[in-house]
Amino acid sequence: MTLPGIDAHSPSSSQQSVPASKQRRDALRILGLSRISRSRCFRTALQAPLLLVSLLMVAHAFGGPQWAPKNLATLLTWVHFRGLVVLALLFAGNLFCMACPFVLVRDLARRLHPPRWKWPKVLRNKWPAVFLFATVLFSYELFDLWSNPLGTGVLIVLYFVAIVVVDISFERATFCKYVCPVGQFNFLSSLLSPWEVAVRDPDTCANCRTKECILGTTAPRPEPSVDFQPLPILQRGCELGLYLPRKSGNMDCTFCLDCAAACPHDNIGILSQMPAEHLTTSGVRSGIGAPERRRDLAALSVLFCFGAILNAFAMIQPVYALESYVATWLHWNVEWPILTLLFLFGLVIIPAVMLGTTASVCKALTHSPLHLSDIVCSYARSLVPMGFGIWLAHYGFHFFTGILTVIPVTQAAVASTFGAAYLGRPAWQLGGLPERVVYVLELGFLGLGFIGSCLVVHGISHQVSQQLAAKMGAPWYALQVLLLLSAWWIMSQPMEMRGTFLGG
Amino acid sequence: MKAIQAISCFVVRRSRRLVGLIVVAISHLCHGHEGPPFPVVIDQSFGEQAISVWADPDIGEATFYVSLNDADGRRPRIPPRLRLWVQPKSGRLLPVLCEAQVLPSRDSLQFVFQTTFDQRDYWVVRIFQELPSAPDARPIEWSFEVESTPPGYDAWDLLIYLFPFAFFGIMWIVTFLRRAQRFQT
Repeated sequence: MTLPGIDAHSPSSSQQSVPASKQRRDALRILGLSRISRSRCFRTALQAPLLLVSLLMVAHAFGGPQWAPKNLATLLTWVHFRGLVVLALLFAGNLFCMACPFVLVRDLARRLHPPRWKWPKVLRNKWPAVFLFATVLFSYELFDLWSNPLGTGVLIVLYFVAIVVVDISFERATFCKYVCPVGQFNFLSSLLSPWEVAVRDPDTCANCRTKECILGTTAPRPEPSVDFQPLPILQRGCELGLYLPRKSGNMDCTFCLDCAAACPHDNIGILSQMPAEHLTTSGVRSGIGAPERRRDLAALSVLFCFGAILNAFAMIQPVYALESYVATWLHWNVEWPILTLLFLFGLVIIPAVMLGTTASVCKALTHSPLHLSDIVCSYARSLVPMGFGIWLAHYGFHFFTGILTVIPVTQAAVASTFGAAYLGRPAWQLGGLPERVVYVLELGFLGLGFIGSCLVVHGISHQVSQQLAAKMGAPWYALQVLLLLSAWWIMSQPMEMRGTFLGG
Repeated sequence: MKAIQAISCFVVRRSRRLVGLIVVAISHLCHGHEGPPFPVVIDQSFGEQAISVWADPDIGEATFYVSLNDADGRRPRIPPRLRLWVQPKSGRLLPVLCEAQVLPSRDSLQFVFQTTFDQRDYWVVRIFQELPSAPDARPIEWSFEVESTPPGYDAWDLLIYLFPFAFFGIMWIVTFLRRAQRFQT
C-alpha cells in the first residue's frame, strides 16, 4: 500500500541540510502548550473567535454604512487582517491557517455530509490555485474591493460557500491544498517564518510502524473480526498529505497540528527553522515532491512576487494616469479590458521577459545544457523572499497607518446598532503611525526581502555548482536588484491610505 | 526592618523610573501633531453635504485633506468647487489662496490643499464651497484654527528606525552563510 505523502525515496538532501531536531527550540514547549495543543478543543478555541468576527464583518458589510473607512468588513479585511497575517507569518508562522474560521464551518458541514470523492488527479497541483490567486488579485482591482463593503461581504460569504462545497464533495483538505488562494499565500510566506511543524526526535519516527501522523488514529477493531470495512477515524492525521518524518519546510502546512494530536509518541512540535533555508534545498520531500522540478510551484512563486508588485503598483497615483492613457489611446470606456491588459503585462509578459532574459544570461555565462524553463524553475523560488518583503511593506503600510481606526469604527457600529454608545463616542481622531515612520519600516521590509532572495540565489547556485556559483548567480542577483528598485519606487509614491479616512 | 526599607526603596526607585517612562511616552504622544493628519471635524453639515477635514499643519509644507459626502454617505453627484484660504491669526501675513487638487479616490470626493507655513503660529483656515449649478449664489464658508508644528523627523530617525532591520539582516546573512558552509563541508 502506498501511503499518501510517503515517498519511497531516501531522505532528501533538504532533510540532510536541516539541523538535528534536538538542537532546535520548540515553541509549544517554550509556551507550555505542548499538552493543550494535542487537545481537540485547541484549534476550535482559536477558530471560534475568528468565526465570530467573520460573522460580524459579514453583518456589517450588508447592514452597515457603505463607506469603506467606516465599515468593519472592509477595514478589518483589507487593513487589519492582511497586516496581522503577514506580521504573524514574519514572526511566528502560518497562524491564520491554524485559526482558519472557514475550516471550522467546513468541519461542521462534513458532519452532516461526509465527502465521498477524491480530488481529480489532473488537478492535484497548484495550477487551480495559481489561477484563483490571479483572479482574486484581478477582482480586488476590478470591483475596488477595498472600498466596497458589500463586495467584501460577498467575498467572505463566497469563501465560506466554496470551502463547504469543495470539502463536502472531496476527501482530505482539498480546498486548503489545491484551491485556497489565501492558503497558497500563507504557504509560500511561511517558508520565511522562523518556526515550522516538525518532528522532535527523528529516531522515534524511524521506529514507528503505525504512522498516525498521516493516517490518523482509528477506533480499535473488535476481535475476532473478519470485517475489513474502514474503521471510524478518532483523530485525523495530516489531511494535506505531509508525512512528518519526511516533511521539509512549511509548504502546504496549515499548522493545524492534527499530526501532533495523532502522534502517540508526542514527537511533533513547532520547531525553530532558519527563514528561507528550505527554499535553497532541492530533492524530494513529502507531499511536495521536488520543488525545483515543479512548474506549478514555480508559477506560484512568480505570481507571488510579481503579484505583490502589481498589487502595490495599483494603489499609487501613476496607475490612474496609466489606465487613463490606455483608455484614451485604445478608446475604451470600460475598466475591465484595461485592467486585463495591465494584469497581462504585469503577471505574464513582464515576468516572462525578465525571467527569460535572466535565465538566458545565466545559460550563456555558464554554458549550461539545461533548458531555459528548467533554469527558471530552479531559480523561481528565489523570488519568494522578495515577494514577501513587498507584501509586508504594502500590507504593513496600511496596517500601521490605520492600526487604531478599528476603535472608532467599532464604536460607531455599536452605537448605530444598539442606538446607544455603549463603547463610548467614536474617537475619530485615532489613526496610526506617521507615514514617515511607516515608510522607513517599508524600506526595512523590502531590504530584508532582498537579503532573503539573495541568500536563496546563493544557496541554489552553490548547490548546482561550487565553481560556477558566482557566474550562475550573477544575473539572478541583478534581477533581485531590479525588483528591489521597482518596489522601492512604488513604495516611495504617494499611496492611497485605504482604510483610513484619507482613503476611498 | 532593614529588608523592608530596602524593598520599599527599590520599589519607589523602580516606580520613579516607571513614572518617568510613562511621562516621556505621554509627552511624546502629546507632542503636537507629529504624526498622520488629524481630524479637525468629522461629518459636519456643510451646505447640502457633510464635510470632514484632516490637517497636517507642518512648518514648511502644510496639507489639508477635505472629504465631502452626500447625506447618504456617497460621493456627491455634482462636485462642488472648493477653495481654501490660510492666514496667520495675528494678521502678520496676507491671506493665501490654495487651489484644490482632487484626490484620485474612487468612493468619496476628496480634495487636498497644500500651502506653506513659515513658522510656528496659529493659523486661520477658511474653506469656501461654490456649487457649479449656482455660480452666482453666495459661497458657503466654514473656518477653523490650527497650530503649525515642526515636521520632526530627520536623517537620524531614518538610521534609528532602520537599525533593527540592518541588525537582523546582517545576523541572517552571517548565520545563513555559516550554516550553508558547515553543511557543504
